Amino acid sequence: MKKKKGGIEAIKRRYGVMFVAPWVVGIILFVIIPIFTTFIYSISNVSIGPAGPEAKIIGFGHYYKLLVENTTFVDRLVASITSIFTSLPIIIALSLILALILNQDFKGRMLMRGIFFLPVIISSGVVMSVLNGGNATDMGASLSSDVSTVYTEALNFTEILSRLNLPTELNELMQEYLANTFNLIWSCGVQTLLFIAGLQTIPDQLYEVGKVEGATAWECFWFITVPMLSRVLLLVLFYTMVELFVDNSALVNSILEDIRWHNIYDNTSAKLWLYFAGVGIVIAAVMFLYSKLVLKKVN
Amino acid sequence: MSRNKSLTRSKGIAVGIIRYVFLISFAYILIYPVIYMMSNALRTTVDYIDPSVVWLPKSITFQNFKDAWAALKFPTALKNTLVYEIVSAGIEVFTCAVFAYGLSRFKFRFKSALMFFLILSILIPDVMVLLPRVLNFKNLDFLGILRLFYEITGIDLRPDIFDTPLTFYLPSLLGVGLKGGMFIFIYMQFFSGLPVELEEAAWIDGAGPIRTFLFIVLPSSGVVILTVSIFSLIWHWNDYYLALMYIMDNQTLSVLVHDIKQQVFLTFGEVGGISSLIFGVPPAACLLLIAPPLVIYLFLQKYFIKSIDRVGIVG
Repeated sequence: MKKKKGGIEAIKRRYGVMFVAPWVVGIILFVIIPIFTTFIYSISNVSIGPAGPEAKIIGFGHYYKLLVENTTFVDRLVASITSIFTSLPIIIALSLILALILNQDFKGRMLMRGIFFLPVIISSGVVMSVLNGGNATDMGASLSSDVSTVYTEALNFTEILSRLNLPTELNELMQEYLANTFNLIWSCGVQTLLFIAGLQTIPDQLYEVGKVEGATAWECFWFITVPMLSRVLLLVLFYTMVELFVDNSALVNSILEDIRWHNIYDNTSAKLWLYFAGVGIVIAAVMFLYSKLVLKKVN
Repeated sequence: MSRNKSLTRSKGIAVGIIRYVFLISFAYILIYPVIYMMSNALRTTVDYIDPSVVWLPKSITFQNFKDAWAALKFPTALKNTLVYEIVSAGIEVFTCAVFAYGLSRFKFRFKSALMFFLILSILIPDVMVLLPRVLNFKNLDFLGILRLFYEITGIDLRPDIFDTPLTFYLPSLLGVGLKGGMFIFIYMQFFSGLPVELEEAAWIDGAGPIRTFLFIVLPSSGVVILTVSIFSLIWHWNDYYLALMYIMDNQTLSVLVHDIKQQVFLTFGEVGGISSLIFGVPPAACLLLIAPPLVIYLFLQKYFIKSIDRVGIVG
């Protein structure tokens, strides 16, 4: 009896390996090797010979150039990391609020959901970059600033902000958010959707128990919804970070152009690794905050 | 008692009003670009100069769409998108399900290491691995074995698949295509919530794991397959970076729309002054790009939202 079970386990193991083997090949071939190759290129001089790319290792000269001699790239990188740290919390908060609202029952819910999932459909940066004037017009009709201006002017937020006597940094941050209202809201589509999916998995009984125990709506949110959403939140954080990094067109486009049009492989690889380091820093920081703020509560 | 009741009622109304104000003010931001595109795409050249025209054009024309159609060479571009991107999207929907099933149902060695690499593949932006991939596609090789063979014998067995659809199909077949890690993750969440009993019954009845997967697991995963399909199709449809890097001449729709200004120049020559070719064609091209997914979405919306309600993709 016992022996037979072991047999089944062994067969199962073999089938498991069979199911994932192609993916492992893919991961090695298209993810792990490229990352290491990029690193080797970044410390070499790369030329294309008859046998393919040839790398002669020269040390960290490319990094030195990027970090000391011409810092345009690093400056852009730092700017984009900063902007990720400022926009990430807003995107998460906004999409959570939207998901909570769209998950309720009210008239016109279907219509509203349809509208709020529009960014999922038009999710590419392509439409936005065309409309934002990159290619469109000289009329100064940059769409996002157009829309954001409507907000700031109609409600005169800028005026209100300056009356509030906030510390300068906070004031500047708020101004930046206002100027970016458009882009921030357009980046909330997939996140809202994932949050709604997560909200659906929370059993109603939990809220009923909460009500019976006399918890306020706020307490229900903080002690039921947030912990129950912790895993979705992780996925949303992953997704948003990667999107924000890729969406930063000035940064990514400079890299792509070097590969596509200029055939610069070594210097670009150094750029890529600096970029990678930037991504790593952001992810590490966000994961740290996540485990401190959210996971602690779940336990 | 009645005072209490009216208090909760007025509270309910207040919450309702706040909700609508919040939703409508944000919905405005989301609808604005769509209306903006329509308004600009339907105008004639005169209307761009006329300051009295804000939203409604004085005369409606479809000339911009015709021009955009010509500038994009729409039928060819559409064909390219279908051949390169959409086929690859379909492949991914299937292969990612297979790999996710293997990862979530079977136990084997190094599984935790594989989970680590799964998360890694979700977190690494595609840009990071594009460069070696592009170079590798030109001389397709595995671990440099064929290159070594070439250097010793002088016989080059490495196929050049750059600028062919294989650059899209191959990674998709191996589950590392566009957002492949994300799809595997979504499938895994769903499979781990699926009751094992059904599959065990199939096992006992003599169906192997492959048949169990094809005839028991896949048919009961309709919701998650729909969700992944929609994401995969839309992200492939809108894909810009991969197409830009892997394709030389037969560019896809999204890349051409992105460079619409240049396409207009190539088709109609230098455009001076204020012309609908500058102001009307770009929005028209954008509409041509988003129309197909939008139409499909309008039809599938009900099922899609329902499936989001039910999958618990991320539970």
